Amino acid sequence: MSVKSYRAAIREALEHEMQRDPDVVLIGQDLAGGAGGGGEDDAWGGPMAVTKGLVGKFGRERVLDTPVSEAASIGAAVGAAAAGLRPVAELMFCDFIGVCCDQILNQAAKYRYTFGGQDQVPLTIRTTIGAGQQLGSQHSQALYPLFSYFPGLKVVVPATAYDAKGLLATAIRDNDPVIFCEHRLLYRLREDVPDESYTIPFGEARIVEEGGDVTVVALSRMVHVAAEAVRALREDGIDCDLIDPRTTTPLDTDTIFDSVEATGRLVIVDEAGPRCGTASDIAAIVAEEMFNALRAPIRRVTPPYAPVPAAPELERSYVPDASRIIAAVRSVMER
Amino acid sequence: MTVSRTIYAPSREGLRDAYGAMQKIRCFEERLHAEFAAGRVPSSVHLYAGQEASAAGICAHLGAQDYLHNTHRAHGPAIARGADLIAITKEIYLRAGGLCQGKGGSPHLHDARLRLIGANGGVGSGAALACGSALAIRHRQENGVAVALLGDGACNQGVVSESFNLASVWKLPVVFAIENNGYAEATATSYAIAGDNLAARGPAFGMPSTRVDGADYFAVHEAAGVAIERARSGGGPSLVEIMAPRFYGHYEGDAQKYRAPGEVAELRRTRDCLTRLRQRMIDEYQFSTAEIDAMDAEIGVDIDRAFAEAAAAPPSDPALLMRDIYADRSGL
Amino acid sequence: MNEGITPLLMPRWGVDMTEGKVVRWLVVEGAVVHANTELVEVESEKAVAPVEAGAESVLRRRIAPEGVMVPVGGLLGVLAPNGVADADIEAFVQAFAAPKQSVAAMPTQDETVTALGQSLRLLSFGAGDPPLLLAHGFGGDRRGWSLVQSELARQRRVISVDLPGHGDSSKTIASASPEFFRDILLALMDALGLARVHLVGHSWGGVLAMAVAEQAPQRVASLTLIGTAGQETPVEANYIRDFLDAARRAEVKTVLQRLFADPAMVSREMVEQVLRFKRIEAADDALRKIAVMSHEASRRPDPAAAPSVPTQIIAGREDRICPLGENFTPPQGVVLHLLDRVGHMPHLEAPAKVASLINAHVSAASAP
Repeated sequence: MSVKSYRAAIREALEHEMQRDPDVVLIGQDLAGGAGGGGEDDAWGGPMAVTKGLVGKFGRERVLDTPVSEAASIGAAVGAAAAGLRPVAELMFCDFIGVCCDQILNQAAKYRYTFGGQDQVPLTIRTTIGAGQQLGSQHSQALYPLFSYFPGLKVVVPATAYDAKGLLATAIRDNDPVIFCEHRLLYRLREDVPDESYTIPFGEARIVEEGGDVTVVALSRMVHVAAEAVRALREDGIDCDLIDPRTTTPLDTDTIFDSVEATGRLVIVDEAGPRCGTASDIAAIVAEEMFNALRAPIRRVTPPYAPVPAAPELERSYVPDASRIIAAVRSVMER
Repeated sequence: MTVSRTIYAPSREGLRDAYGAMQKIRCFEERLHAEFAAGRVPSSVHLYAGQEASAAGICAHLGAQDYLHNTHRAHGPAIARGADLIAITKEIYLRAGGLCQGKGGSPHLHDARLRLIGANGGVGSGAALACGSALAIRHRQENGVAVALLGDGACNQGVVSESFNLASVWKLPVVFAIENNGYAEATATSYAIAGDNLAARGPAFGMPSTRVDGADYFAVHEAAGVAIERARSGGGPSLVEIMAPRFYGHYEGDAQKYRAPGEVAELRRTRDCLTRLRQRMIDEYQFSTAEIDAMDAEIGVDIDRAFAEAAAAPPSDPALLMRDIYADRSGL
Repeated sequence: MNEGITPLLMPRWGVDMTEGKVVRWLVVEGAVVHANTELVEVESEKAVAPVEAGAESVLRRRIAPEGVMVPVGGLLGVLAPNGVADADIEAFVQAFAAPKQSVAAMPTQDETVTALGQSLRLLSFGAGDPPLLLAHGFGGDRRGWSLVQSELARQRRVISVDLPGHGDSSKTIASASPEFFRDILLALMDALGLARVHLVGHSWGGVLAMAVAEQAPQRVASLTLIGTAGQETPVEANYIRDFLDAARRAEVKTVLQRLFADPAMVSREMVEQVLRFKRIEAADDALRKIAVMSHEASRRPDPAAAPSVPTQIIAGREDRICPLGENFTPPQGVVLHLLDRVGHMPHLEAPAKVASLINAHVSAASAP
């Protein structure tokens, strides 16, 4: 056990899985960096410095730097997975799915089903999500709801370093394509993480807080923002259950249902947008299954229906903050 | 590219197999054409008739360790690769017992055991997937190759150019085999392909490249052999453009008004790979007409049986709807 | 003049506990109480449990009102026989100050020691030798003693260790046999320079403690076995298997609930802690090997195997994992304490009681 960052925890999972299984290969841009240049090898160690050092341990045969060719490289990762490797492809920003949609949404997601179950596609796609770095509309989105739309994909949105390490190991060992969404603002988050290898099953929410008055469901970085709100609300005598689903596919509806059964009130906090997003999805499922348990309308706390702006003042008002969550919780308590 | 024809000259036995595959494809597609016209085919189909030499010329060089990524014009290559004719037909008829249990249909004919990879809806992605197959082959040191069949239309997609580049950068054992049948749907290559020469794109990505007449089985066989052998021996990817006419529309039901009057009849008269091969087998390889006719008759029986079995096969089991979405259902 | 006056203090039931809430008094002023009479219910962050009398006396004063928070070591009430004058009691209360050395200030140390090539994490608490050495059960770790460790540390040093394969110790175990773990405990004592210890073992840890006592009785000043399977008490057959197979939170919770008389004792944190441990592959692997070896052990441990070592058994009447059975009688010379409304986890279910039993046993064994 030692204190590790979210970034280091992810790197450790990659390293453990590469040691464990020689068929695990990494595919992506600048995973090492420096290929063909006159300077240092492993110059970047990943665009987010997550894969630093791995090329030195495993060689360029297993840490495959690609040209700027998301369609070909993600497609190659799909093909390699179907042929029996366990590739971990990196899509630098989830926003870039625009150039490789077919590979992810049609090839990876549907390969097994379309071919009548003859093959499996044990592919992991690591990608990054989230606003907060003034990167603007095409480098700041939280597009995981898009992936959860597609049956055949599994979607992981880890909020902590501990979860990131265990869930990534599960993702790599899983026999289906998994989209692993790393929030860039969490890379520096640090906590105690076991040094040993471990896995966390998909479809098991983490109960972050137990309160009993209101159920708050939050995803990825929003778990931390919601936790801040929950602490503040507790001072005022409102005790919230805080649930982090950790994976949006599979989605642990049982844990959410159990909590809503007791509280009758649900607030969902999502950095993805308000339309066709995870918050909407969970709201619909709960409304359909748990209507009689609800004592107040379900509230969603999401960004507005707008692209992510770059200017810090605009971006701050785009991303949900604790005060909006507190207001939403108070509003459901009034009913 | 100067390679002695003697190296890649097909054997008499090889010709027999190639002719058998080509004749089987032709008969199958013509039968399917008739069945479709009679309203008995439940889905859209794209026929391969006219292009048989391409599939047969490539598959002649492929072994069990090799991957063939198919196009949506899928029946021919699936037959040439040796997939079960009855299972193919049942799949096209979307019945129980189809290659993909009726979930894929005509364009997605797939047989994992044969490393025959079904096509993708967006057409160009097979180029990228083939890079992945090649990566796996190399990783496991299997001495295999991955062949990506691509239509001329698919070659205008970005993913194909990306794949050409990636395969070359990674020196993958891939052969990009472009079947240029002159039309992407209803648009001629002379309009849609700048330069009207796909083979010319190979050198731009550092790949050897060649263009061959798809009506000439021997030419296809040789060009494919050279490219596949290069890939297999670690020489990296190549591109082969096979000029192969299609005798039917883009899909069945296509009135083909984009063709010049008499165009198809002219193609059938002058560029039929099957009649040309048959003639050369008789002229140069001592096949007798009777021998070939006997093969044809045998194939006719196989085709009849495949269609009869497909027509009689039970429909797909409704329980399959929710099956095989995931391999690991834990937590779902 | 304070002879016979015993202060009733806010206990410390965990390393983190700094104060407790007086929930309700269970006896009235003037009531005669006996050893183990429950006097007052106290709530910490982790538990609600009664504070018990240590010996026969009279509850003369209830100082702390119900509902108030009292710091650890603060005065809850005063016990004294009826012979003690009210004035003396009043004087005692006026003079009372929390002990200078509060438990919070006791030296605690988390350290790592290497024994037989295995890295062992241990927590030392308090001062005074020979120390108590606490050995946790199968799948447990040093933190499982948190509710009793501070109370025990009032009298002497307390060392709780993560056995190999557990907690923060080496997960890759050199061997899974009871003899190996016995030797680990002896090697740990050597590494710490301890000639003698008071050994406490829970469940599987008790089996190991018995093995140590049998192997080296001269090094064991006293032995306390808690919820331990012995000759007469086999482990419930399916528990180990179910514990090993439980992968998800709900499954783990259900399995852990079998350990307790009151299933509500299984908290979210407890489940999370067990899950985090079990999910480490090397730990899972170690547990499975230990389970096999324990199952295949040729003979069951005997609490009377080291007759020279003062031995007591603490067990819950509702223990479903190592049930003592209706007809159980302890071996000659071994004292049995059977606790009501307690299952397999007495040190978590009745921490105050267990701490006082251990302290009493250790004191008796230490008496010249």
